[in-house]
Amino acid sequence: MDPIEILFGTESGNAEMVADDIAEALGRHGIEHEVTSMDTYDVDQLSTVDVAVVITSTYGDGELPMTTAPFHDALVTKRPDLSSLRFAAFGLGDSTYETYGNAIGILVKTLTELGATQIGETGRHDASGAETYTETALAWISATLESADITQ
Amino acid sequence: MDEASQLHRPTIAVVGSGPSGCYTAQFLRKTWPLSEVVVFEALPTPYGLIRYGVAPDHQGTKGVTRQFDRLFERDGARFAGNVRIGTDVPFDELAGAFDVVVLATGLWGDRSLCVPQDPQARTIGAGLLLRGLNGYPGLSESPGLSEPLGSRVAIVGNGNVAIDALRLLAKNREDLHGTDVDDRLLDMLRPAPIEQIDIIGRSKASNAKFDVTALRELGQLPNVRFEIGDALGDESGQVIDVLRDLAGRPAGDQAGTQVTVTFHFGQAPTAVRYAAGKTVLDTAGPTGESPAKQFEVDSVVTAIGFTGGHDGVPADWAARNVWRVGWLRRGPRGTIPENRRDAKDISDSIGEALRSGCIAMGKPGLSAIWPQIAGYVVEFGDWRRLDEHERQVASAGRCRAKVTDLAQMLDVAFGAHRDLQLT
Repeated sequence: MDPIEILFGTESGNAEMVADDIAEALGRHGIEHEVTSMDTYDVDQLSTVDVAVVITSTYGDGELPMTTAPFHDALVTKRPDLSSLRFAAFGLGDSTYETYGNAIGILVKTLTELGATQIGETGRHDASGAETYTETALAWISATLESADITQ
Repeated sequence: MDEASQLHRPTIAVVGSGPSGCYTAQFLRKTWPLSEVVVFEALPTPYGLIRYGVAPDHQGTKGVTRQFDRLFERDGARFAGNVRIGTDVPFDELAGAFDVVVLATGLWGDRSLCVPQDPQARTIGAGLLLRGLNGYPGLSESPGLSEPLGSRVAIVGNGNVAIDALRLLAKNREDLHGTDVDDRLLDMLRPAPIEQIDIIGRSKASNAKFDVTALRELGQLPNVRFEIGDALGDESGQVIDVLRDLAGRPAGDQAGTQVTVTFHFGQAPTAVRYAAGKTVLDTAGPTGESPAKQFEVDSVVTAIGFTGGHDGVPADWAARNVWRVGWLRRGPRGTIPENRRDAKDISDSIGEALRSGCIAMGKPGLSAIWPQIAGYVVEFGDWRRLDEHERQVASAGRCRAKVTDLAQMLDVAFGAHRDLQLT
């Protein structure tokens, strides 16, 4: 299998930290991976990726973070064929706000529309909850890997 | 990553451990894995604005400290707290000891109303109020924070800091569940619930700087009744839509004490007077749109922006190897993410200067000044002791009780280790 592509979109760096956590967890399973910020990623490459993990926070009034937005815009305009892509999705948000976790929902919808298949459930971290980013992300990635049978 | 950043070991001092300083340290450590990065902080506690400026009921926002905990605990940056550059270590000495110095001391002060003010009138800056409610050390003597605010408060300002002040003053004790608000101060400022809060701004509602998200959050306050006061006219826009929703929502739990919050737009303060035991805020409306008003209140909270604070650095703290970042560089405005982007840009310029040889490497770093700070420096492990203590002594419904006395902060931080340090 090709390396798993971990893509993050962040405003305050928390989603990047989650990406690093997930990268380490994959490393512990001996799974090859790459971590890339969404704003520097060429969406055309996604057509050739087997498995991606997308991680984004939600910003402002339910908007996409500044690093997620250009990635999402490129998906919408270039419309790459993602029928061979499987992806897992993790969102960061704050349930204090009505728009909790809005951005990851937008991203999942777009990826699915382009033919990609989601693995497992969308993971969510609530900044107003008791768990740390790391705890939630690690529990989610191990459940996701198991459900997709990509633990080695 | 290029070869230079993998081979060289620049020594980097960051002055100030707020978000801008910590983000800069984080970016530089990521790009230069062999670098020595030391974050100096005048207080014994790290994280500046995150600990002392972000509202205590926004623990989600404060959660970025998890990243910085990792930076110091795992990713190799050093924390040197209780060291004030310029006093404990002369600036020139610091700039001589480190290849790169990054100044990130954009601490804020409240901008004051530029109108005539009676010295007897009760006014307090929202920044000071937030700092106080966040348990900033040594504020108990501060005149603004030493007597109750009264039953009627005017908040001047149409930005998110005004909303922070409003939320904290209006929320009842139970609705502050899970926060680290300084209850002793809050109870002193508010021995009985505040009955009326007027939010007064000079701009039209359509130009108000409130974040719609921050306004919507007010809808969660069960004990608050919202009203729209002056100068609405036929304005439209998101802010007005949200305010209309708030004003139109069914009355909350009537059992609790109700606070009435009234938003006024297009009212420019002209004077703060004192008459018959009350503080009176005079305003002028935009020509023809609304009449001049007088708000007779007990206290006026000003939330009209910040100025460079008392820690603003001297202009001669400059040299070829010295950078400024965040609020110190850009002025005291902008969110945490905006300042993260600034930290990224500055880290990139520093990287560029190091790679191009503009800045020579090879200065000794922390070891050169260690002997003079070793006796009192608060390292990250010491802070963790204080951190743990603050969590443990938190009362029910609070996530933390901050220690607000500097000497006690140091006692707890050093704990049993102090004796060892001194020998």
